[in-house]
Amino acid sequence: MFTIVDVALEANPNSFGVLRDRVQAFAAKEDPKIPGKPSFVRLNQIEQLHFMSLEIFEDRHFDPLLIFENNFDGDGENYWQEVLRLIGEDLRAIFSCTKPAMEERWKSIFAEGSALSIQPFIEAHSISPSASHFGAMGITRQRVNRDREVFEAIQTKLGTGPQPRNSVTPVGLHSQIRAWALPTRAWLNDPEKWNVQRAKRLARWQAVRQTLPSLTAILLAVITVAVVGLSPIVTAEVRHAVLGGVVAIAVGAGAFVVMFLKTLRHVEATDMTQDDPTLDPAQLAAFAAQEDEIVQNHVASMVLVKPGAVRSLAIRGSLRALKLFVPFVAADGYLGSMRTIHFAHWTLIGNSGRLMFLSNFDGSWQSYLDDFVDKAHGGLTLAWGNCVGFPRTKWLTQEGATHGTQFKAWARQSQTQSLLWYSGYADLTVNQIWRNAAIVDGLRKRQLTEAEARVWAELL
Amino acid sequence: MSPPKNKEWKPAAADAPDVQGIVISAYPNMLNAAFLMVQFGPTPADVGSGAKAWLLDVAKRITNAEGERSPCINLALSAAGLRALGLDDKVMSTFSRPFREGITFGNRPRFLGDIAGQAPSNWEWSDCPSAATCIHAQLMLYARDLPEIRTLTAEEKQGLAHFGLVLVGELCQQVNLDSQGMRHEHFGFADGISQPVLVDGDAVPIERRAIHEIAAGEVVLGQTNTYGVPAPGPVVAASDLASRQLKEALLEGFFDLGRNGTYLVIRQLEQDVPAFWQNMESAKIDLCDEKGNPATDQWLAEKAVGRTLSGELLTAEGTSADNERGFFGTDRAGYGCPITSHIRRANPRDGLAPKQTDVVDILQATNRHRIMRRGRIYGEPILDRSTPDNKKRGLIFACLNTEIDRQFEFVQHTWLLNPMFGGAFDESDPLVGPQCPFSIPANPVRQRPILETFITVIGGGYFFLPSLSALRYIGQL
Repeated sequence: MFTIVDVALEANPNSFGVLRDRVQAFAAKEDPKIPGKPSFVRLNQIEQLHFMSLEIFEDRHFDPLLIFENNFDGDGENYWQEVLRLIGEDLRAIFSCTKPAMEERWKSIFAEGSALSIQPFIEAHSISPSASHFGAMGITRQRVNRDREVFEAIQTKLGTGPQPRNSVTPVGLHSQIRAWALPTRAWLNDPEKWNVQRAKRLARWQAVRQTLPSLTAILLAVITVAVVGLSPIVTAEVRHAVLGGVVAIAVGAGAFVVMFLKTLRHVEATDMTQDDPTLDPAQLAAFAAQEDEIVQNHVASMVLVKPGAVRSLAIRGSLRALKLFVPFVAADGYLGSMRTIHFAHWTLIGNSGRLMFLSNFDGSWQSYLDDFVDKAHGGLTLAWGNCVGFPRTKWLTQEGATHGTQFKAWARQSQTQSLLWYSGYADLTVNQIWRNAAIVDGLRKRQLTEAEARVWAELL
Repeated sequence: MSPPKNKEWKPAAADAPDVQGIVISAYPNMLNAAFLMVQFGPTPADVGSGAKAWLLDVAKRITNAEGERSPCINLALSAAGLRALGLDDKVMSTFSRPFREGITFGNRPRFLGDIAGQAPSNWEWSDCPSAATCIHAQLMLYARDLPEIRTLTAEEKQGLAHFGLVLVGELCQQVNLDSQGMRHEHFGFADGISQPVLVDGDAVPIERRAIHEIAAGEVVLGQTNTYGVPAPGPVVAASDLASRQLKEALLEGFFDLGRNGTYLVIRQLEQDVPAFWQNMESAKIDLCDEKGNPATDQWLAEKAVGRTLSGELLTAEGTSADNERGFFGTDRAGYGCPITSHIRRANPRDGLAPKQTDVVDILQATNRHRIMRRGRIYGEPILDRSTPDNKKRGLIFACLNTEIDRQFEFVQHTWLLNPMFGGAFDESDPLVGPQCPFSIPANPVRQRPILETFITVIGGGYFFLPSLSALRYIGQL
């Protein structure tokens, strides 16, 4: 199971400069970017951690907002223990410059030389995504590393190719490699600890479970009405009254839906858009300086949600729909026909006044946004379409992100620099993670059929 | 199946005299070419009236799109050149970002792979305003034969001297034709085969475009592009001069400086032919061809390129002269044409589709990153590819596109040099990428020789190829 948690803290405006300095100093300590100096010595020790980031969103409507992004394996118990052991004091120093740290109940935690754990503070300010997507569902950080070792060892063993050529069939090749790998990797004969299918089922169940309370409530109401309406012990008057009530509610609900859709189309057609978002050259230079150092990149974006009841309902419904359906339609990592996202999520911030998007993806920003436009525009429009300035949409999923140039500028403008960004596996794409996993899955089997062996050998 | 071919886009009759000829034609009959690389003066203050007078003078001789003549002359300007000519920051800010920043700006060299031995610090010329050999204008001359290009070059050089401009360098180019009339680059491969075909972006919706067809706005500013909107180009505020020379922009109060123009990317790629073939000779050891026989250097080089020397596509069933085909249906895994071969990286067609139902979408997505190539070779073809002759030779890569970041830079970064392209791991383009492994799908398992690179970038720049009216406007500023 993967967990995404953001710690969201409003900066104390009076110590904002100090906050920024401390975040930058921490980032420089973790990632010195000096040749010969190792990076992320501490974060590399957290074996559940996939991606981590720290950024500050500045906005002229609000005080700056500090976000501490965490993407990790498991439910957090071991993870936070490790995080606090390794970087707890840095976090304490950073968090002490935020508004909540000034509150009476947290004072003792942030007192000079305090030995109290900051975990309760983190828990109190943690928020969960409104919708999220994983590229390699169920493949834990430990499995990523384990499978990668197998891949690299096989590549070294195969070298330029088996000698002599054509002396071996795919089935024979599989047997040879398995026989060679087993002595040092006895775990290949054990059941898979990090089973992908199980993880997918769990993610789907979690998605469904979140809608259970509302489903249960509706079901109970229907049963009650049915019992009252059909039971022979109630009088005709009561039955008529109940029937009348049901009809009234149905008519009311129908009218509401019609009104909602009418108003939605009206605001979609008449809301103001931002056709040419201005891009700050200094900011673009800062992005360019950070991007494309490794095969992955990071995006941190914050936009304002459009005001009004219709938009408020629409965005909650849209994100809820994404949350429910993404684990079903994108469990293999494909959003539409793109599979370049490791961990991405949308989170409503500040009583749904703002929508944050954080993503850890493969390839350049340009290729990522082009993929959005070309291959996943429906989902993107659904998630972002209710936000201020977004290109014009139709029925929540149409048009919107297909306005390529406009959409890309809008997304770029909403982005802020990631002051710290950590990837647990800087040279692996989502595709490569799946490829390595499939190689290992094949290697676990004692014998492959001719057809299976061909497919497996193609992965090498 | 890709839809049937549509009518090729040509400029409207009224626009043809305004469009530079190179936009719609690679001048197949002009076998010789020379680029005169011009500098107006070290600072805008030093640029006298000479540069503008020269522009107006050249404008009279520039070849337009009304039909091929001989010889042909075209002109492109760098951002540094436009600034030197006096275009102010306001106008400059309406040009596309990569163009106005230039090919050597900021982190762009890292993005484009121009690092280490390929770094701009080693280049002979660029568009970088602080470089001594910064190019302000590329005067591109094309002629039918050597005597004609010599005469033309001499005349144009005289013109430059007359107007007091500096000639920074001269790139003499030619084509190397085989007996079938096919062009070959120096390693010996037929070149320039797969070109996009322009269609009217309004009249032909994306789902009706054939495999190589793209909207005209991908190559010509102001035309409808792949997103169904006019390709955005530079504009100038209304003025008497603007209203005399330019058409009104869509934007109220502005005139369209970009219309009928485009952006031109030029990179000078030096090729070490004997070293390339020696590398193939040594890397082929231990490799086998499809029949199980020991591989030859030519077999390996053809796998690296994805075509035969004569230009046929490698396919799972052999080779094919038919270029109107995708990869997914018949060669998805790359047993014929390796997934990470040069031509598949440069244009993956439908090959990156995860499954059959994605083929149409993926081809459309791929075609949003096409470029119109106009490259030619420079230096004499080598007599014997295995014997070093210490002569300089290579390719002047040139391409036209309206959004440099979505087209040229995307192709270079996301496809050619991407270490993980198409599911590869830690590889690169076998021709232009750095030394790395190259996976050749085979039965029972891939072969993976290590290939080095024998192509070195020694110059490059981003240029604006204006319409004739835009050129006259700039000349009269």
